[in-house]
Amino acid sequence: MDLLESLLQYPPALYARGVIELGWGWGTWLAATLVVAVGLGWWLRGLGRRRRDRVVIGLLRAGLVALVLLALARPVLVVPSPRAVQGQVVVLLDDSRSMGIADVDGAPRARLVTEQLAPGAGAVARALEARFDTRYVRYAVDAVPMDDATELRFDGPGSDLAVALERARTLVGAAPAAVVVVGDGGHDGTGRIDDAVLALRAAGVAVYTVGVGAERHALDLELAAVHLPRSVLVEDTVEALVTVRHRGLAGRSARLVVEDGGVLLAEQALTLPPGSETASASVRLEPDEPGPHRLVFRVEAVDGEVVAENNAMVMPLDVRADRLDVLHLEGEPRFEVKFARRAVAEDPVLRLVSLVRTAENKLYRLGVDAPEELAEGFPTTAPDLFRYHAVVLGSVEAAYLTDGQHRLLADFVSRRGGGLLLLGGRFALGEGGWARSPVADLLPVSLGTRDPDFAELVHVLPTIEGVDHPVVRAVDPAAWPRLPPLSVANPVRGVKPGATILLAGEGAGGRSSPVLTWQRYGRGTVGVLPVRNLWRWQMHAEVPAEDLTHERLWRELLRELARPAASPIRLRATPEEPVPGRAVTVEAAVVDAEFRPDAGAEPELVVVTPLGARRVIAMSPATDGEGLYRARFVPEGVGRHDLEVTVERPPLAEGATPRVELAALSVEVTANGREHHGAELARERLERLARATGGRYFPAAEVVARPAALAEAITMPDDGLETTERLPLHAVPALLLAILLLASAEWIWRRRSRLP
Amino acid sequence: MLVVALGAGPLGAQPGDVPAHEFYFTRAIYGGGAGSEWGPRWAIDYPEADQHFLTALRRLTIVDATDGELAVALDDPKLRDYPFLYILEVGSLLLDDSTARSLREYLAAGGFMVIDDFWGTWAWENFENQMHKVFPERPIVEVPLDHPVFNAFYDIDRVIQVPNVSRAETGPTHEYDGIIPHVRGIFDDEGRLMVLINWNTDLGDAWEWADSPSYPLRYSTYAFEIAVNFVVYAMSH
Repeated sequence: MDLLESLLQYPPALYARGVIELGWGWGTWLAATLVVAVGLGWWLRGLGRRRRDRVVIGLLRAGLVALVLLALARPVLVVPSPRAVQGQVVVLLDDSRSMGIADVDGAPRARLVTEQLAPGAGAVARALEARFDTRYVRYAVDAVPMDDATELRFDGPGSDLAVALERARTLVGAAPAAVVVVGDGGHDGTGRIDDAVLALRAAGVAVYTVGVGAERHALDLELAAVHLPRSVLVEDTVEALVTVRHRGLAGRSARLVVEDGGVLLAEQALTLPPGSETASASVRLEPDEPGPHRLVFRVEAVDGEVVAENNAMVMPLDVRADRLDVLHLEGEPRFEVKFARRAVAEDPVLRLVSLVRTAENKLYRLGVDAPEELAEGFPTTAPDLFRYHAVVLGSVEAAYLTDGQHRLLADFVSRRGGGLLLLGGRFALGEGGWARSPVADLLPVSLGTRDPDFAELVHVLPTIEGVDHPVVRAVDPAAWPRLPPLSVANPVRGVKPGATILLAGEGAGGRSSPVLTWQRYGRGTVGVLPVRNLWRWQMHAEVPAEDLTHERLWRELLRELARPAASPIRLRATPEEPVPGRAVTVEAAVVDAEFRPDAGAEPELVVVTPLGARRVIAMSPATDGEGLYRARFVPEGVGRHDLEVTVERPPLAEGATPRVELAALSVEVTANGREHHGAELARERLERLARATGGRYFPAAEVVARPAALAEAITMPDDGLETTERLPLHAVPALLLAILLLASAEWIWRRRSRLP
Repeated sequence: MLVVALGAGPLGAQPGDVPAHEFYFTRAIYGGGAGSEWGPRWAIDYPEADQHFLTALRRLTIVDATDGELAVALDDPKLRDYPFLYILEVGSLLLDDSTARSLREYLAAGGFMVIDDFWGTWAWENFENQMHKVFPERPIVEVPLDHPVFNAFYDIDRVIQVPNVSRAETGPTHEYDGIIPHVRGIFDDEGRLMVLINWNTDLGDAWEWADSPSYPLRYSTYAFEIAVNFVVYAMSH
């Protein structure tokens, strides 16, 4: 902004184009002038005898009053509105890789664009240029203005229509009269097209769309979706849900393979159903090597496929060796302790700490890390309890814990996200008085009243709801019927709404009762298993030595309980399929030692690129959540990017070194992203876009057949709205400066003339 | 003393299909060797020793222990309902292949066996031979005093030779050439103790005669303490 513009408040060009209007009418002006003239004359008479003084001061004072009156009159500069620039059209050309698909009469989509719609290139473009001031923008993951057809490269790894539309709206500092979108309608950006459409509608900008490509391919096989957790624990069983879409292959079969670094992990034959164009499959994987993995899911291509690039997907999978700490409290020595410990002893993830009351006021600790761990018994503070990921309560009465410990357990589940499992036993559940404790609210079942004589022998089987649950799936389905019966030690009065019975027991007379009931509570999970001798599935004479039901059940029970327990830093990166050049947002949710959102943390993001370069980025607090922090980075190349977020914590003791908490995540940046997935012409999206803004959709063939059709369809906005803008001038710096100068001049003259 | 015949199924406390209590002091019935004047070898001190120990166990700890004795044959499938097993006088133990296999499977599945009351080289050699049938590859080793079994409930800092009732007052405390008492063990692949061997000592007599004014308190006290440790350890490791 130069000095003149600063003094005038607005660009001088605006003054040249506009007209200044005053807010007062003639009557007001006349009255004000008369009052001022009379007042001025009367005032001048008393100003001394020198005529020259009266003239000079009178003129200065008159000018001063005139400027004040001018400011009071609320002057405005009336200029034409910059809302719409008449005759300007922005053409958005899809410059992404999917434009290389050869489905326009056997030719690539890109050829039609370069020959017909690029700047000055073809008849359609020339028709537009003849009629409008036409600007061109090429778009992929970003939108870049262009002047020449040679700038089109068709190598963008993604298509972000939202970014492109927003760029078109603001390209020349004012909204254009119309926007033309030329492409296949693909959109895999993070921006919302609806938001861009709203802004265009508000500015009265119509969008005309030209669809390039085939709406439906004759023969294609596409890996449409893979649902896989981003991170798992070592030796977890992972289930990947795969969806395959096909065209023209109904009734045939396809081969699905999963590879990790070139090593085949799984393969599966898929039958493509005749009545549907999608098929799904579930693939079980058991990753055992800790660290980041790059899984490639692929359906093998068939001859004649239009798009071969959409047959595979790269899915990052972090296999973590994090330790899950589980605290098992028993009110009496029980073989369940021994056998549970045996069952999970070889698990590389679980650490089972057992706290067993062996006599009144005597505790036996097993599996502790250090002599001081649990030295005072069951934890009494949140940091001490929240260091565990799950708690198992065995045969221990509710009264063994204080009210504070009961509330702590409730917070452990609901706030910390910990798991809680209650086993059966003579001091457990209803018999232990848990029905009246605060913990009862967490349970998936209503507990029965105290009944020391209750005992029921049941044969356990999965329920229909339970068969797909990871705990149940851990057991070989063929094993259930041959497992020996278990003793249910505590009656369950009912199952709460929202809870799921995973295992049911059939007792005498065919009566069925819940054996393993499960529910989410707050952020955590709660299970009730009212049997007192699960160890029979390990020891019983009818259970063969090679049967691993007992081990698998305990391992999966404890893992499933402990797994959702959040770490103090939870990470998320979007988009999930990053490509070079497109910003990745890393979000960290940070909590303190009591798992309350930590708004005072100062997390730091370290991005390690595939070449080993480290970039340190400070994360900023987000406004949409307490304890939420975000940072962005733009990947420059393909490959695995390792993300680490660290938060420095105060030392545990004075003089000790600060502790550092760390969370890690890796993202796989691919050259192609999902650009070739769902690559058929998205006609519906383009039609909707045109319809929503008052424009029109054109199939490419139509504009090629009649090049002028598009230009003729574009109409200038005539919406009857105000097309001028009124800019206030009463506070223009030049006016205020002039008032100040006149007042100063009068003061100086008076001083020189020795007037009061 | 109760004299029972082999092959008669579990003796003593008669739990239903599934044991109702958490802990049963289960004595192994086995064949082999000549009976003694007190009945078969497996039944020495039975059932008084077992009953006295259970009384002490219930009084000293919070273990849900049955109040009656229980004896089960080594090859009885019901044995798998009871993960704690007590066996004594193994100097005359004789295991056929089937019984040895049953015992191996019992221990591999998680069972815990305590051996007591056998003395001297001859008895050891027979026991070692029999255990070799069960675990041909597993050595029998000394259990060091810093092993958790010695601190599971009481802190045991030395191994005492517990004499039988006839030698407790008069001495010497040992029998045959079994002068030095030992606590030895057989461990599984994960380092867990499966078999605990009390050689050159007689814990059973100390329990049986604990209520006798003539039996020295120091022996019965020690016998109860170390056996409570065995039970707590067996139920948690």
